[in-house]
Amino acid sequence: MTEPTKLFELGQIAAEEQDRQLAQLDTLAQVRERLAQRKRRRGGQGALLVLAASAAALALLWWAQPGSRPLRFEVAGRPGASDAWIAAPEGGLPVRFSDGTTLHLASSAQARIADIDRKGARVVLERGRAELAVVHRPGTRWSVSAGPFEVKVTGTRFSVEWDASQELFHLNMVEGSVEVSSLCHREKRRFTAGERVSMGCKNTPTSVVAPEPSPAPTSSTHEPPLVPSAPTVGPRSPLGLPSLPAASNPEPFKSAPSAQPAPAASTVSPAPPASAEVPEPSWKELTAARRYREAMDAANARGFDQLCNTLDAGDLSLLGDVARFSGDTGRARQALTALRRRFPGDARSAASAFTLGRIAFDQQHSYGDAAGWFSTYLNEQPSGPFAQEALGRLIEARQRSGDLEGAHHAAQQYLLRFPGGAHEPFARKLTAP
Amino acid sequence: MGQVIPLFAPGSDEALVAGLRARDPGAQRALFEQHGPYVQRVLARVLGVDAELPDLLHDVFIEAYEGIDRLSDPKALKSWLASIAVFTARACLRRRKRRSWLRFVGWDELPEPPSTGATGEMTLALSRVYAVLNGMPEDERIAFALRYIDGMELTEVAEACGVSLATIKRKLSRAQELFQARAQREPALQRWLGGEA
Repeated sequence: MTEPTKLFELGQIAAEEQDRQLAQLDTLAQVRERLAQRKRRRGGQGALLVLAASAAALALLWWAQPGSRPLRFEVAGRPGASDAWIAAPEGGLPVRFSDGTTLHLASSAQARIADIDRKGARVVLERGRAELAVVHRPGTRWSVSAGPFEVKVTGTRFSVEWDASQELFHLNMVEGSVEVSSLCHREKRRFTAGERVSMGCKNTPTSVVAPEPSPAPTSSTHEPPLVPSAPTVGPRSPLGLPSLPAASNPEPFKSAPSAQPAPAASTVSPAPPASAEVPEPSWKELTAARRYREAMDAANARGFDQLCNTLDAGDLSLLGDVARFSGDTGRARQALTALRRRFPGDARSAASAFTLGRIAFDQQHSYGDAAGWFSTYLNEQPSGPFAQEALGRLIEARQRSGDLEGAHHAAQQYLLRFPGGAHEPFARKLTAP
Repeated sequence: MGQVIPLFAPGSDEALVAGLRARDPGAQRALFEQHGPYVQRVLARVLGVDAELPDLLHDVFIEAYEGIDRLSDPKALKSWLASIAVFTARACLRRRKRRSWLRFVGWDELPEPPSTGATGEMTLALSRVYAVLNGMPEDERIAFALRYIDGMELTEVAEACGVSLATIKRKLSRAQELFQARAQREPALQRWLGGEA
């Protein structure tokens, strides 16, 4: 047997990198502690049994309390399962919760009910429109995730839509109020009855249509907008935001020309200083030393939000990597979405779409989102270095989100473009007659 | 005032094994302190840096504590631990394979995203090496990882895998072929493998 030298060289590189990663973990400390605890557990097994029995009895009592059980829900009259994908057929699909809250998915919308407990649930809207009527009770906790946007709900009626292909979020408030946050904007914003909003993460300006003047419940009047407002296309509303005559049609906002993020409205917090004025941050030095967790701490101390708004594309990409390597998925997404928002057209921006897809797929299990990001990458860099993997992952993401037709189409594309690729067996299986 | 834990000073593997056989907690701690990093490395070489690593490392030492009486030659303590680690890792790979119908591509099998600088390239290369290994049979994967990534001698690989030297040579030859064939489809590895891959 002749052993190629290059295999040893590659192995050595892999080993060095792996040792570096291991050095950043605290596996040995964890296991040392667990091994020590194992002895204590053995010594106190009897006491543990008594404790376990007591806990079980308490849990049973708690379970029997009315209102203490997790909510249940039915999809079109049948019991629903949390985290299972729900795809609405033509005509829509009703989802009814045991606390009286209702969710109606419009035609072709896809969602799943996640994190359901006795206080509420998180509706993950993959695509399409959903209408919610949340019954308000003390301590209720409902939210809707739509792409990078998060809607926190108390008691209210509203509809929300996520256009994954355009990466646009739409909200139409009917009753009550909600709070909207997103990974790509700094401020949270409260919206109240009658308001309609469309916003995206790219250069799409936010548009808000105020409620009719007469009822005008405006708890948000003095709050800054979530993102800078669109160039004025009509008279200012009482909220200080541009009033748009055709609010239900998002087209004018989609096509709003803007090569850079829109200028800040007067109510927006002052912009951070330009990158030229920021001294060399120590997070980069720590990154160079491969001390990612410390680099992340330094970046947070420096002001992660500010870094996202001031760094150039290369450093922003690096910041995303640092966040990812240190295990902070949320910050990684924030940096990467900032990169996409601020540097559209940059190759690193396209590559960040692939990374965002991976994060959505692997860590958030949000397959509709993942499919959107992989499609975005492929659209922006059809022959990019990650095209093969992106297309393979697109098949998986679409298949897992229930978009079988889309998965089939992507599989056909894959077989044409990458015969012999890692996803070939799966693509063949999907396209088999 | 905290509890005072006496230090165990075995001096040699024979003394350490004697302490382990006497179920001396100090010897158990000393075993982990002396060999924990090595066992962790063996597990990581076979599986990659993996979320299950702490659990598997824990399992190896529990198995060692409880099975110390099966070790016939105390001088072979280190290779015995390596063989437990390999056995544990192989069981983990088989368990994952059995469950693979639930998820046909795992997190650890997928590529690292683009990154800037040499670190990113190495991270990407490492992830692609394990993506290739994930597609190989367990025995070939283990042999390859121990030989080429960890740099073990052939005899050490054979001992860790519990097979003869001739068998491990056959496994390695097969592993080499499989790896090189699959690595050709990995652009991220071409920089290192070049024409040989």
